[in-house]
Amino acid sequence: MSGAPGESRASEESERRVSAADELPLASPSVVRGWVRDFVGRRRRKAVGVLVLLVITTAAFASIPGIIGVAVSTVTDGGDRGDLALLAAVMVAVTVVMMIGTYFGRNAAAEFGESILDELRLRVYDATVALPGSVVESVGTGELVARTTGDVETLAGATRNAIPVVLFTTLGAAGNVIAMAIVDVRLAAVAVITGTAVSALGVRWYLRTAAARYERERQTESSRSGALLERYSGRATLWAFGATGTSYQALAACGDERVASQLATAHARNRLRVSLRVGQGVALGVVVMLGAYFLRTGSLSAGAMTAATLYTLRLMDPVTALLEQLDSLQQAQASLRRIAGVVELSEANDRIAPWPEIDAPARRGGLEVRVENVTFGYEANLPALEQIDLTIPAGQRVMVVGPSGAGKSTLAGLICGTQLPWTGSVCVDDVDVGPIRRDELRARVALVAQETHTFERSIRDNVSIGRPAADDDEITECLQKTGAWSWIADLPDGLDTIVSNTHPAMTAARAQQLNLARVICLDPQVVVLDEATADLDLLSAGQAERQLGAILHDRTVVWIAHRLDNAPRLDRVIMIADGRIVDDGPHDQLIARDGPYGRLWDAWRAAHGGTSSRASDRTPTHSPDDQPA
Amino acid sequence: MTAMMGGASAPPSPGYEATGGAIIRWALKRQWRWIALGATTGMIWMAGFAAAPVLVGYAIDDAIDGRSGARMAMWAVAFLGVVTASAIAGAVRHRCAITLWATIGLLAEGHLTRRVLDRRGGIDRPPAELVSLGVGDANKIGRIGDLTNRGGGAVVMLVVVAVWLLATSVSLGLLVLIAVPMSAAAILPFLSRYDERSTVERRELASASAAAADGIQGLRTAHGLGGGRQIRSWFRERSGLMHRSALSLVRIEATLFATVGAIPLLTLVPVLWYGGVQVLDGTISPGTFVTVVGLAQFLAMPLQTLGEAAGVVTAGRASARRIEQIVTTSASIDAEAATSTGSASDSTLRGDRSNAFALRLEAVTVGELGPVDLQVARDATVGVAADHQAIAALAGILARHRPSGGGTIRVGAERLDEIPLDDVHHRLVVIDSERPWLLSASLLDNLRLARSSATRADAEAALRNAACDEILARSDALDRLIGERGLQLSGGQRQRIATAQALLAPAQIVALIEPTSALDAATESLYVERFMASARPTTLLLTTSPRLLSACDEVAFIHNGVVARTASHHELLETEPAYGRLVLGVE
Repeated sequence: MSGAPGESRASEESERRVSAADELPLASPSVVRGWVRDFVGRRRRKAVGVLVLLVITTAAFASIPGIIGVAVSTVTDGGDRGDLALLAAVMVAVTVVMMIGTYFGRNAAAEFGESILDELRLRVYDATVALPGSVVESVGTGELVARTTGDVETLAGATRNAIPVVLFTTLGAAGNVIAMAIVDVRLAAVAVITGTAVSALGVRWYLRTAAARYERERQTESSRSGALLERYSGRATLWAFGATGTSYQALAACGDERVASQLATAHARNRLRVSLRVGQGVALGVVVMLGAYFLRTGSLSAGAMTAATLYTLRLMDPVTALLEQLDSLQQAQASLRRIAGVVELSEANDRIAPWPEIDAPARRGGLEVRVENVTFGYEANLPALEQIDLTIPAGQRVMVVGPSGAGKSTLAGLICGTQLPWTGSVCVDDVDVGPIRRDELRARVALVAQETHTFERSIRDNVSIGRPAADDDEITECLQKTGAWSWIADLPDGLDTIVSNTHPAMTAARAQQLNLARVICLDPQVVVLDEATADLDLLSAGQAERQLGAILHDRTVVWIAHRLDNAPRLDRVIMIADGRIVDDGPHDQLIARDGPYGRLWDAWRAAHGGTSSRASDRTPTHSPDDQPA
Repeated sequence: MTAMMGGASAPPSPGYEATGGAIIRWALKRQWRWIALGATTGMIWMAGFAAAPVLVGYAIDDAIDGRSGARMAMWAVAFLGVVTASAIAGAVRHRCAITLWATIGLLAEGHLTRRVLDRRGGIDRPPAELVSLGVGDANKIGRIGDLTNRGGGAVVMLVVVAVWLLATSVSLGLLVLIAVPMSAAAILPFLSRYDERSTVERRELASASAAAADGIQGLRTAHGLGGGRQIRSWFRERSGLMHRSALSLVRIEATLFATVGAIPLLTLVPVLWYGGVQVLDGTISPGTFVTVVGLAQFLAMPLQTLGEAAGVVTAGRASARRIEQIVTTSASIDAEAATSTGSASDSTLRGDRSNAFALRLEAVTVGELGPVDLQVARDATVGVAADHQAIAALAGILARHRPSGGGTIRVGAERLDEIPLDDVHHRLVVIDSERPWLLSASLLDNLRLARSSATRADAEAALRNAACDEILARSDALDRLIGERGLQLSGGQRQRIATAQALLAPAQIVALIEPTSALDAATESLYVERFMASARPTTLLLTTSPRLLSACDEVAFIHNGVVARTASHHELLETEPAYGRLVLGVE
């Protein structure tokens, strides 16, 4: 069998899948504005409360130069110690107001922000979990994790730091100018105009260039930690080739790039700060000269001049802080667009139809699976499966074989409703699976994929994931059936042991045992196994498959496999090549007929060194049902 | 020791035995020029903030005295000059700070990287943890560099301002110099409590988002079994905790902000009152009064900087200790010890059968495996059929990721454990092609990892010999970027590229672990055909694939930890029932 076409097709298909991998969408800015309006609108009273507290606090803060000015007036215009004591008392009162305002303002702002964050977190997480399997497969979990954790973190950072700073500084800047205008409106106007005019160029330059520089800094940072992670995790290969030297060079280059990008953002900040401070210096000079002139002409008191000067000294501080937060705000907006994009996509793909209760719900055996005239592909005009017609009677166990890339896994996805056919339909027990809600569908049709994930939860939670109502006795029984109980019984915490993908006790074989226990616990009527045991070495794969066979008796089973060992034990074999069914029937009949499957079987036997006599060891009489569970 | 310190291209380092403190000192020392420049400009920058209230005071006195416009213009120019000088010095200081922060961070991280990538191994923490440790802790060490220049300026300005205040009015100066530090000290307990709590809370938040990530990574598994609802409910638990812990952190934060904002203002109260009294008494001028009030506010700045410095240094030292812990992890291979003990004993063997065998294992044990005796003739292709654990154990000692429990391994005449670690790849290359690791770079760059001098023709030949026809068929075959961890390729393609790398490696022996486990039968056949026909060094195939084993010159079958028999695949099938069970899964 010269199977090169099969393999090359497989690679083409995987490439297509990569290129067709729809990037997760971004929501439009108007959608994001709608979200913000909605989130804030539903918390209007809280928002107003926060604003009132902030205004009180900034007003108190803005009054301080004024108090100092009044003190100067008092001492220069014949006041006495009593007046000074009164001012000191006012100062204490202002401080107390500020303290209380800050405390409650911060708390209220945080409660407001955190409640939005919490809602957002749940919303994006639910949406992500509800995404159709086809989307999860095409975009990959990495991007989804980034959106549900990274982007939410970015938003949380902005909510906790940037937004309070922006609010405080905006109000602070306004309060400062207003207070100065109360002291002397002429000086206030002059200070604001000269300060702004002198700083304007620098500020404009910053607004134009800063965002790109911050973006580059983030990129170099993430590419550097990516490069580190890559080298750390691949160090065994680097050692094998003696290639650590080139890695140091590559990492050093990443480091240099990062420093350069950090210096570029530092440069942007510096130009902003210098221009703002020079603006402030000019404004200060003008205020002092004009103030002295007004003082001489009698239209300004010494105290007012002092206050005006002190206000000018504060003029630009909030502006600097505000502008330096703009980047975080832009980040937050981008993150929100990414988050809202997931939610929109998920809502657009929602499947809501319940499983119709046509006949008595008591039916527990396998269900019939009917694939009618189905055509499907990952990219337009390139069908991966073409006009497939297939009926699997209730309780039949079918193995689907064929070269990789032939469309086996695609068929599995279609039967499970993960993918929706372009044309035709997939029915389970006469119900079209397309529009059915996933949880309702999964109670009947389960998919066991090649990769299994062990959640960082207790063994109990891991096993009962599909049926949380299962009690400990049932869970233990499931674990016993897959042979997992033998090692779990020895664990000090038993079912409460927290396991994970990287848990030292979790070998691939044990993870697979847990996964099979999940299937038994769920007890679906149709089970689709997509290379479910391919990852194990042969010995444990054999055990797992035998156990599976014993457990799944009287269920409808669709077993996708690239090893043919178990084919003789099942009721029927379907061979797919180049997107079509090329052979279909019981193993023995197909062998006798010597069609495509017969040739595949011969090639498999030859490759696996067996003599033809060995094949007879594996006739259906050696049924897995005879094995003790 | 220098021989295995990572080779010529490894960056300079304070040495593996360096303590956390030594790492910090080493990094700071290498950057002393930036530190000096930063401290000088930092001082000028901060002086600008102190000078402003002084100038304001003088200007106000002159204005009250009705001085000329020219006099006031002089003060205006002075303001502009001082503010501009301070701003420019501040810019230089900021540049120094960022340079120091970044480069010192990189130095610390490089120190860690050098140890992690060191051939002697011994560090078995998950790479992601090492990276977050490296990046996070290196960053914290970097901040010490930033603080050196603000801190220096702060100390100088504290002294200058104190002298100026005392010279102006002893009683008022004393009042300021007592009240301001006292108020600063009052904040400290809040600060340290906040630091503690925020560390705890942030860790909780991080673990919650790790749990969220765990759920999503398992989405495919959960989807297949209808576990979506469960995953959501798990996240709701976590999210609720996250929400509550964020709120409790906020309450501390709010207390801190309220206190930090209020205490400096409260210290103004006595200064305002007593300063005013002194003006009334005629002891000081109104302008001096404004200056003192301004300086009292200014003093909060250097004091805060010093407080921050204390925190940064503490955190940096803790980070340096964490890096120290990893870097000082003892190596799993002690090349030095092996060299010193081994050399005498085998001089007699050296001339012996050195040319007949490329590789010899004599009574090698490791864990439950062994004693294993195995001889691989020069230019032969030998299969080793064993179960997963035995293959992993054998590969581990051949690759020198771990020492063998006993016995000797010879490559030609040399003992494997005496070959300098940096030279091993010239003799023996062990590739775990079951879990191939590829760089996110072009295909050619990946192949050149194995031999940097490989030409495009070499690379293409290697790919062809590894049955990568469909990869070569693409127009951009060699220049194609293969994505993070090579994930733009299929598992089978990654696996065959690992073989192509092995074929390029300039080694005397290549050992491949399960190079065909992800290939379908047809591709495996093509692979075996091409691979066996290719020109390559002595080859060891650690595998249970019957197709691959049947093409080997001979197969060593390891059973119950020892080589049960070495023979051809077919012979083993007929004589060793356990072999049939292992490679065919038949009973």
